[in-house]
Amino acid sequence: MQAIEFPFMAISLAVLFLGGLLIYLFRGRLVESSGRVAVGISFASLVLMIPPFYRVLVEPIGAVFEGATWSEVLGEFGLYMDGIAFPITFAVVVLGFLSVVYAVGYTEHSENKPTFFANTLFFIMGMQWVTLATNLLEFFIAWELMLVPSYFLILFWGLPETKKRTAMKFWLYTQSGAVCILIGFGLLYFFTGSFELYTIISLLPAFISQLDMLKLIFILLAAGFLVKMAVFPIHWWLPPVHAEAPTPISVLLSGAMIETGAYALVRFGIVTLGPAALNLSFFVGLLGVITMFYGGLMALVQKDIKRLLAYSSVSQMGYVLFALGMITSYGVAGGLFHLINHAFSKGLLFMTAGAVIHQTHLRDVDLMGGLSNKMPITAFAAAIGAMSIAASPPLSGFASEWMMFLGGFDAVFLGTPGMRPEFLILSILAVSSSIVSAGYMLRYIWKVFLGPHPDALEEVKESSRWMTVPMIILGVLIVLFGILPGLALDVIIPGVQGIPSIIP
Amino acid sequence: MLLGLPYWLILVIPLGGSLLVPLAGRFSERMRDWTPAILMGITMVLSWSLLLEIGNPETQTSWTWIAVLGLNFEILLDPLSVVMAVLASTLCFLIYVYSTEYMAHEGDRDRFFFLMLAFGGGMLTLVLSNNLLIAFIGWEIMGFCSYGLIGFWSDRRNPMEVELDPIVYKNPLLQFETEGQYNTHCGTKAFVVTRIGDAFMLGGILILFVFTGTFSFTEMATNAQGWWQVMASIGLLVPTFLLIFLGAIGKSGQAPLQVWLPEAMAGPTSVSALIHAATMVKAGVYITARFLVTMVEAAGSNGNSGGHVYSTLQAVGFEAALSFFIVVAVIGGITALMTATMGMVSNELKQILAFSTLSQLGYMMLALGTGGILEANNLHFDYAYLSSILHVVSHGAFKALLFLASGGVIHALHTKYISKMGGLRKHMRKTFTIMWIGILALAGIPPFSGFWSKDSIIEYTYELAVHWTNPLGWILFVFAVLAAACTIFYSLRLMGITFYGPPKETHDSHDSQESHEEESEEHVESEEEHHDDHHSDPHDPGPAMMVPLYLLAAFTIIAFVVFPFIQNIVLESSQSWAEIMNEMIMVKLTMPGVVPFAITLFALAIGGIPGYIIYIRNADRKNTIIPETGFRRRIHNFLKHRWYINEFYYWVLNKFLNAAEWYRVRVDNNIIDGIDFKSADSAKAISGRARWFDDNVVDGFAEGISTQSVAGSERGQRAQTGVVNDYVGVIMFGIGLLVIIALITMGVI
Repeated sequence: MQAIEFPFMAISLAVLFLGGLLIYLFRGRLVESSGRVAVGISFASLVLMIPPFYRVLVEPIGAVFEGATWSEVLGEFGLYMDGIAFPITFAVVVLGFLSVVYAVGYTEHSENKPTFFANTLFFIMGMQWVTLATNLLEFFIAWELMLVPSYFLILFWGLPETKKRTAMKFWLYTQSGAVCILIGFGLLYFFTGSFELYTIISLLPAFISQLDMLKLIFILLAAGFLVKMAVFPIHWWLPPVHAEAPTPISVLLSGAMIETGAYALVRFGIVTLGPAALNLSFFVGLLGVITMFYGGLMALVQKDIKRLLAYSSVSQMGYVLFALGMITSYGVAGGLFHLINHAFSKGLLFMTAGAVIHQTHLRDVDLMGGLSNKMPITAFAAAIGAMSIAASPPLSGFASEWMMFLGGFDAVFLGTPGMRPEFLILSILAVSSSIVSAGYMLRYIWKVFLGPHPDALEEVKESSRWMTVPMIILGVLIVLFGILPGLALDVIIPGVQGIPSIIP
Repeated sequence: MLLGLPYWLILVIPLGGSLLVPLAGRFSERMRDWTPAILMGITMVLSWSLLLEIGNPETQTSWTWIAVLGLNFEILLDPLSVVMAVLASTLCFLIYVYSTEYMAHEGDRDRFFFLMLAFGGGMLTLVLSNNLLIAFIGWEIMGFCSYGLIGFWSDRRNPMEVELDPIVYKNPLLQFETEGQYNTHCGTKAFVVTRIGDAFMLGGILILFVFTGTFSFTEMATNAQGWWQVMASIGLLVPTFLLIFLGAIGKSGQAPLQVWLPEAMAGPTSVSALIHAATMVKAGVYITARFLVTMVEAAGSNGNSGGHVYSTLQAVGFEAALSFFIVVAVIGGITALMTATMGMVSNELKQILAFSTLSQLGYMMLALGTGGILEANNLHFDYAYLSSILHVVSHGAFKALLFLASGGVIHALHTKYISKMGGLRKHMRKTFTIMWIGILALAGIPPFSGFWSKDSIIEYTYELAVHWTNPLGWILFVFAVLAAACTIFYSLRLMGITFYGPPKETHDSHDSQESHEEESEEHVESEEEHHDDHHSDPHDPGPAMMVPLYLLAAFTIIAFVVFPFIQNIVLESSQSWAEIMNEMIMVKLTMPGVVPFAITLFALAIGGIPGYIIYIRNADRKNTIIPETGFRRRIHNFLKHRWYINEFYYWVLNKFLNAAEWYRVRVDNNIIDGIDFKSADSAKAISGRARWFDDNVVDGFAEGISTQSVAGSERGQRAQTGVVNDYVGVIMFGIGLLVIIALITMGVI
């Protein structure tokens, strides 16, 4: 871990934080222009992240580190990006910027815009920091920083009828997860006497004999992360929250925030607590399969346009969880790669849904139809996003899905000597769940964009450039990653193969 | 390749070119319409040039796809791939030319031609890729394009055209208010049904990869890592290939996933032709054939076990896959017969052709399965395999011909039901002639193309029946023969109702049937002239639509001249043309080939003679062959409802969706949300209790203490009298007390 001269990642975070603060302080003067200022700030932070991305992608070092010691007791606080953190960081940075651009168009008629954008920037900063943190306490602070602004965003700009209880629900669910994480972190500190993740990783092999203790820590941490990922028994917060949040925030919640849970599961579960993760592999995979079917089936029958997509996120997180649970190099690499693809595809879909809601003022898919003639760009973007979620090549969703499934089949035959039939059943089920994905995604396209349009929607127009341009960019990125998955996989796979506990 | 061009151009021209279509549309409508035809024409020339390069060198690495995983994109130049590529590109080219005129008056042609060209590119990707995963990508591109094209007319607001004798469905999923809704449903159905197969196929491909360590067909054929023996020894060989075959079942519309293809007729006719003749449904046959070849080679080679964990391998030959090929053959046979019977009663012109496609695809699968079984019994597989490939080629040509010709009919009459057509032979002479050529080929009448290929398939099932100890061979043979009888029957019925008999006027109005039935012969003529005043007669379409038809018709007639060449290519033999030709003919006329040939001819007579009598000779009379009630009506209904398979699926789906909906409303929204609310309420209640406790007990305790202490102090206050004497008195008393205590402790007292 060598420090580089100029701390790009830290400054990127600082730009987001100070920018958000400035917008808030000058909210009186920035009533109308706050969106554009936020776009500028967000763009600056995106540009500042380019050198670290470039170093990870192109230079053979494979990782970038910036760190400083804050207090001798707490250890070193650092920002670290390697092949494992790269996909989620990339997704957060790109999607964060695009969602801010999109928000400019979406919040045309909203009140209190400067506060909205300030909170959005804080939110993005929190997510970006979570993916880079190297210290348990630092991670936890960032984890909470991600939660607080999103709570306010839902509370003040959510769906008017239900926003209070939705925000409260969001807070309570994720906060109870955070409590589990805190206990888990406390136990880790108790064992190793350090908050620094890399010190912990180097010390943990000494505790390998205490597998039960490691499993307990793993379960505690996983409980917290799985709440964030909205896995089956604790998924219920996600559909109302994602459906009722303002759409640019839904884009971030569904596209990036829930994925930080998956990333943290890799970082703390598989990398740090490898033996425990291997031991619990089947149960994690089983939860994943249940989640993908549950989310998929519920998405098939939703009436609310955004709730349909929210359940699809639940289902997609099931795929990721299944893949990560297999702990094979293909599976984990595919799962991490899917974070990028899901972020872009689901972000894109939420943008299209938001555009439809913004232009038609409808939320019920039964009242829509035939919008492909009225909103051609939105319809085309939705087709790309939906096909990517339905894992239709050559879009990026397929590029990661086949790897996730292959990871499952690898786990069947390569795990221990002999075959593990329970994993075979899981993997076949996981593969067949892509039928349901295709079903609900086609239903979304059908109900919203195809068929003849109702007379009430005669006057609908395409949404503004602020909203269509981010959609087009995401669509292009999805196609690009679909045709050239090597762009990201060349970084992710070496990163994953460096994990000691992983099955090759 | 030709002019030393890189091989990947064959795929990149159509796939990349499809993105140019909307761009071309910005400059000129006409240029946009011709862009796919021109690009596919170039691709076609390149594909034909591949014929010269078969086998040397077999694979060409074009680019590295994912470097870390060692996945390369390679072009496969073996006979099967090249023949399929030539067939696909040629038919696509003809269909695109046809579409320029057929679609000339439709809106939104950017989307149409984009999807059409990408469709062709997807098929070429599938057949030319040596990488199974990239082949699967081509496979899925076709799935997506078919979705877009079948549902192309998704915004049609007119109500659906109703058949004269419609089936009434009760299922709420089958109620459509507008044609746009119906079309969208058909596209969605096609995608979802094929996706059922595809999902399992992906699973099979990935399991195969775990054992072979490669996606490359050529490496699989060398038995990389000894996968054949390893998989056979742990009993996964047949299940894995069955999973892969499920994909082929979905795409090629084999039973039990045949339900999507008849509905796939909702799209424009050129789309139907593309799906049926050149691409999509042939993909399943291709992949099965591809695995047949690969498996034969892999089973034959020893391979290097490559340090795999399973070190001791028993020798396992091709017979390990016997049960897989039995499944292929049985599914093929069932499909061939079942869908042929459905085709006998359908009233939708294109749907009859769709059923016939399904049935012919069943033949192809049957031939492949037969080949596999023959190989597993140490007989040669290659001739049965060859007959399947020949049938792919001949079916591609005559089915494209039939679809394009019927597209002209539908275009001219504005109805898709044959029951509203009739007497067209006077008006559309050219279409009529061409249609006859296609129909005769479909029915398997010599010397048209369909005869040679289909009859040889029946011949090999006969060989199987004779040589195989399992009586299943005879069942397959009977299925194949019966399907041939059904085929000729529905072919003649299609011709008779559409082109013979009295003309009907429904092509320009939606009159009810009754008025026709009351019309007498004499009125028909005057009726026709009356129509001439207001509407132009149905007439043959223009040159862009007719020229592809002539070419296809010419091929269909002279196919037997071409087939020997194809045989040489596919079997990589070098017999002279005359030898093969002689063999082809003589095998039908000498023992043992004459037995199945005679049986087939007999079957054709059984199907053909009633068909001819009912629908062509007696075309002018009212058809009373199906009474209103009775056994024949029940059979008719059974077939008309497509054996109720389709409706059964919808019934299950409807129940399933209802259950999910019920769950959403009752459980997900109420109970789980209710738990949240209840827990919030109980938290509130507990807090209320806690507050009472806090207020009364905890607070009471603290307050009690403070109250008591205050009271105590107040009582103590009374001691503070403020009188000095009192104080002095107390002090003196205290000092005295201290003195006494001191004295006691000092032991004085």
